[in-house]
Amino acid sequence: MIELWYSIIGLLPFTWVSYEFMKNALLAVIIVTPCFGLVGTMVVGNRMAFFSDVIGHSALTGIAIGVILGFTDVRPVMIIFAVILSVSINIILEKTKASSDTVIGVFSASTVALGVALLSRGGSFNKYSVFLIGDILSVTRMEIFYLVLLLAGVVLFWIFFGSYLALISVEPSLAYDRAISPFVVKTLFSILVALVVILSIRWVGLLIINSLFILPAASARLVSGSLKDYYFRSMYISMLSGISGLIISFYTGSACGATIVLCSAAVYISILVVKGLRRSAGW
Amino acid sequence: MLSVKNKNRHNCSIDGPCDNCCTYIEGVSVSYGGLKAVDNIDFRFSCGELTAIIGPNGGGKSSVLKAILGDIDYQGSIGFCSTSGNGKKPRIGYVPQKVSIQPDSPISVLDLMLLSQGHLSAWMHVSKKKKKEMMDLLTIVSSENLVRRRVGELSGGELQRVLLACSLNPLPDLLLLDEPVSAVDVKGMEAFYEIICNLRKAFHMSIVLVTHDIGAIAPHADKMILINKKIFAIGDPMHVLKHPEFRKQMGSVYPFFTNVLKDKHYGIKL
Repeated sequence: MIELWYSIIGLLPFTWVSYEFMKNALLAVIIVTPCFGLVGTMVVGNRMAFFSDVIGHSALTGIAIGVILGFTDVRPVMIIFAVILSVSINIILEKTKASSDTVIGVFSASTVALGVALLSRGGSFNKYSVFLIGDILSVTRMEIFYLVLLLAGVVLFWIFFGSYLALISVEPSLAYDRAISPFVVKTLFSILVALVVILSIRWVGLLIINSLFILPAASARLVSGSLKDYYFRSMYISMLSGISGLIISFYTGSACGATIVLCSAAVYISILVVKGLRRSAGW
Repeated sequence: MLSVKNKNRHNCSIDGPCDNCCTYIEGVSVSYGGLKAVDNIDFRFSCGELTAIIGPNGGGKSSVLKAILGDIDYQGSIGFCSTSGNGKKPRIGYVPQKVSIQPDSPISVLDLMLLSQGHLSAWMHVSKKKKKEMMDLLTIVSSENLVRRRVGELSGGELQRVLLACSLNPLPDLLLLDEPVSAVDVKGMEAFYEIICNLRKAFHMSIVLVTHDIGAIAPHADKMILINKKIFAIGDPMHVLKHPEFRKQMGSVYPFFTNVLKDKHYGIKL
């Protein structure tokens, strides 16, 4: 499979196609950006932007706990921590009925503080800065396989629960006669967000990972008149910015994750400007 | 069209309200932490009948609705009886008071309708038949022109009609509306009540409406129930509005309603 990919991409008339790490990175981007685009539509639609941000930040604490427990690969610990965190946030929101930005704000501050405190012991924080900035060029074949599984999981969740999430984003009581409660679906979704964030944070970096959810979906919202448009346009925009960001970062030498985010920001701003011009020109 | 198929679905010979098929509420009480919000009430909603539940704030109107919906725990029994058997749960349609839709939401009216019917995915191909079904529902609430609009940009009245359409499939035995016109202007409100009135006849369903807007609903309702923890008055609207308990329970707002009701528009004289 992957050999086929290498030979296809090798046909392109660019210098960067001769590097294996670029071929891997491009494949990773093509697989992971639809995940972000799709999960982002649901994050934005259900006003969970702040929530996914916290999950990103919790990665730091997950790493710290993994390091302390002596794991060489800290990812399982990160995933477990992020899942526990997202489920607890959901339970507390459900039980206390407190406003979500307050509850999430409390968790956000505490987990980041805990992570920084633990990792900075003995002045060794710099070791972990790869998680802050991200490095997609280091992606390996095995990791690409994980990403394929992740994409499959996201698509399956979307097929079964995407409509439900859209419905409860309008009004939870519209779903009152369903067999499954909004709380359960929201909790499942937050677990999915945790998985997407943690599995891709090494390549994107936790400082900007949330914007990969928000920007494509926010752009798609500006130009969509139906849910179908919304989902697919968000995925296109996410992929387009991902691919162009990767290529641009190859030539400029800038961090790939950040360049991708800048590309999606450019898309968002362009749409806003065009819409504004159209309205003022009365087209 | 739906009306032909479903008009006599309860096998009633009577066209208007009848006692053969109805939703019954027997000895229902609701308490919140030891405090009784609703105390041992009994009544029936007959099919083909429009009932307005009125009462002061905190008098338990919404609690009754939530109990019927099964959202909260209650004592007593709620069931549906018809010629085909007693005691099963009525099929309920529910129109919420307000929805928290974001103005920039990309959900279209067609999307919302499909979603509320449990259509698996808004991204899949929608069959012509399904689309036609949704259009029929929208036609019932005179809103077929809204089908392509985004839900976020609808006016209060338009949104309320769309939500009503959503609640009509599968056709409910009992349609519950929680202060449906609180965000709707006067013109939209009259249109909405008119649609509701037609529904109860066309589909032989009982419609229950919780409302503050006593003056506007009075001419349309078949029955009115005045609740303040217990039932204080029940019967046709004129009976309830003239009842001595109405003045007692609705005390502070009474002068206002007197004026509204005297208004020629409603044709009611006190």
